[in-house]
Amino acid sequence: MKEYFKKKRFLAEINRGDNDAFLQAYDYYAPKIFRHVYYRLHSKETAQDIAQQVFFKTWQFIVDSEKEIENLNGFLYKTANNLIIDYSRKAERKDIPLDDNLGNKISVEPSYISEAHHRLEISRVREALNRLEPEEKKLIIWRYFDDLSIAEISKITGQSKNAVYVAIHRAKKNLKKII
Amino acid sequence: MKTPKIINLIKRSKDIPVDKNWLREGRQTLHNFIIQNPVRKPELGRQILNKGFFNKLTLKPMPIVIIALIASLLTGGGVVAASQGSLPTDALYPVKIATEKAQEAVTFSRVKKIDLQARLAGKRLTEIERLQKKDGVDPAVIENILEKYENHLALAQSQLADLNLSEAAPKIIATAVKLENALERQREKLAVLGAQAPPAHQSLLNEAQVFVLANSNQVLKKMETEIQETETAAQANTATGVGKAEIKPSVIMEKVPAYVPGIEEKAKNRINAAENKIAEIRKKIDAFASQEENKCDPEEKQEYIKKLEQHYQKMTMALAEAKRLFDNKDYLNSLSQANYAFSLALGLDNMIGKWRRDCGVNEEVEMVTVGQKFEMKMGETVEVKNEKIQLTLKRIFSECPPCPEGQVCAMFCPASSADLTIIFPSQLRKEFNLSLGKNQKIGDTLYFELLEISGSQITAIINKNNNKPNEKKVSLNQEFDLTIGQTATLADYNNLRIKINDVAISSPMCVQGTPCPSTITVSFVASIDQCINEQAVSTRVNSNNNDVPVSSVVKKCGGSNTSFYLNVGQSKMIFGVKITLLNFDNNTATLIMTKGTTGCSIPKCLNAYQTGEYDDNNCPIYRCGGPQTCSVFVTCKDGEETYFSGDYDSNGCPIYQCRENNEEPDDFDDNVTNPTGRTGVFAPMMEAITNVLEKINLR
Repeated sequence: MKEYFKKKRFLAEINRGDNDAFLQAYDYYAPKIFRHVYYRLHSKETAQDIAQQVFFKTWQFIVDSEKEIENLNGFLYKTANNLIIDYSRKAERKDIPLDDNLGNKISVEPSYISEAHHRLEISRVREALNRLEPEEKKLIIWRYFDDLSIAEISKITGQSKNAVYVAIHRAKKNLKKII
Repeated sequence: MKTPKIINLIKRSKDIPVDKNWLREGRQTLHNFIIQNPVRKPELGRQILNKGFFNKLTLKPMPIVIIALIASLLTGGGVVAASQGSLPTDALYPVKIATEKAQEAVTFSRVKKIDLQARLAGKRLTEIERLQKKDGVDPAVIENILEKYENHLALAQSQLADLNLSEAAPKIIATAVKLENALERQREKLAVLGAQAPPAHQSLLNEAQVFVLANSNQVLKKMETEIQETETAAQANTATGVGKAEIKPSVIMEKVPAYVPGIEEKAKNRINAAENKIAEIRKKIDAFASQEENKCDPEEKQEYIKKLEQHYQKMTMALAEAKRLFDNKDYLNSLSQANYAFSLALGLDNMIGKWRRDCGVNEEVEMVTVGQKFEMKMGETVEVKNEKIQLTLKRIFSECPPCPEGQVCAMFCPASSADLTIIFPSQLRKEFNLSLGKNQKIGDTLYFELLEISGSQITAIINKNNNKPNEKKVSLNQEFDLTIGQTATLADYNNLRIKINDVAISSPMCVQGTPCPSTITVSFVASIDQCINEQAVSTRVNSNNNDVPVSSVVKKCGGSNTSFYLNVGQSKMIFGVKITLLNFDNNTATLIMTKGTTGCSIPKCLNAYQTGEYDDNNCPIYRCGGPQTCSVFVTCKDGEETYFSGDYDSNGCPIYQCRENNEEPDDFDDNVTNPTGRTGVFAPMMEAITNVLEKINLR
């Protein structure tokens, strides 16, 4: 499915401002962007709000900008990232509302022998992720939670692919150290 | 927790439920927004603006730096050249790294990029190797180099992953094989470096090994995929019109050896390596479990052991799987599994090491007994039983031929010496370096001998003084070898001892173009336990004006060492024994000791006297215990003279000693010990006359 949205024809439709194509992209990407934001901010309401804004902003870009979107996947995550940064800056002065209820709802395969243990491990990883440098945390989430390719992350961050690869490698190492 | 597990847990936590109502409402709101804000711009104009050629002509800062560096290289930048051999602790190291970055930037082919990264990774290991020869290198420096090393591998890996089917698959396989080989060589080198490293660096080097193994597995995976693609394409070509043909995994397995030469051997070696490592870990776990440490909670330790055992089980299962795959001829996956088992073993090794460090148990102490051979691994400590002396193996040194920069060629240099630390019962600590085959005194009567160095371990023995290998018993008329530092004792000849003191090699002047044979002169020191009446041979001219040998007896006693020199093939009489140097090679002299100089026998008894008669061989005839005569002969060195010491021996004979010419003896008391008041060689004569006069009351 992801490949479908990468096709030139589809991108051309998006850049042309095709309503249906854009809504199709929303159906596919909205849950992903929501999960991504939630995983980073741990707040359901904020995640819903930011995920919604991502699509408004993207449409606004298509409307206003002279440039074209070359990679929709990367573009959406980049927009989400900018919004998270804005949100975090604003939230620095007040407590970020944490909504851990969702975390508890994380489904676990019934085949798992020790569900509680597994959940514990997931939360351990999440805690460790929160202790990572924000830049590193972002990279790990993009790469492994959102399954973004190195090229896509490179587009989002503006860094070279090699630099992204190395930064992810370093982030993984640091995450392992924290755990 | 291992990295793959962490990644897996992150991936699994994707199952965050999404509110379907929110999605629906959001869609509707978005739809409304889109309708209200339609896109009205001409499509073509935007495309031209965006894809304009001139947009790409901006020069970024990095290329400027690269161009500057290239220019510097082309104009023969001396600093750049000088920096190439620098280490991270040197001032020029940043220049070296910048040059490498420039190299990376001007390498365009993906295959060459992979090659370059593998080469740069090798360079980093060479830097670690060179740093390890220095003392007191901060572990942070090693960590920093290893981080760079891992980055090089990560980049090589990333380039390999980016090679896709648009390029020729066999070329990708060949590149992957090359990278895999480089990784294997580097892992081996890391193992050697880890084994030779001080404990502070070992865990870092172990972790780097695990990283290499993980990368190696990814490369193997890439190989398998590419082989599969190539084979599928080949089959599709043959099955015309049918499209892509199905290809069975078993077919791939069969094809692998054709693409990856020596894969079977490689998999087998890796399984063996993993097997050995696992056996080593088993020993370590057992030793760890049986050791009593008081600094850590015993219950906690039990938990820890349980954890270790679980990992051990996992490791053995991985090894069993590797073997099973090998039996099924699935060599690539077998290699992969063996790598996995090996990396688990390395992880366990680090876990045990960490526990030891945390609990203050630095080293494993093994008891060794005197006279028993034992092995020591890097960082291991042994204690000499009943002696409270501890020895720790710190480092092994190899003598390597010089390598071209950046190449991993110094992997199998022969080890030649080892650094050890000794802790005496008084807690005094001393470090020493010992060459292969040499001894080190570690106590009043104890000697530590380095017998063998193999990889990261040594074989040694501790001997007591009385059976120390540096003393060898030899017999008359028997050839024997004597190395520098050894003493040969002729037990059946009053323990006559000889030892090599020095060796001088002189190269005579020679005509140009002709070989110049060099002369080896070996200097010896000899001593003996008792006094020996040595036969001294001189010549005198007889009435017929011919030279005839004249023998005389010289009494030589133990305690005073005699030095003498021999060239190869030369003989000398020392303490009545003819010593011949037959050969000298590789710091070893081959000698033979025979009695007499001209075949004349010397009586073994003391107080032997010459009868004045000669036998058929013109040898003087001696008798034992004959009339007591006092000899005035003492052999003195050049520049010395004999003098009467003022003492008398048990036979009433005056004792003479040597002194430098015209030197007065320190303790000479003429009034007490020499009533004649005379000194020098006439004193005994005067004394003998006085004695006789006293006896006949003529005085």
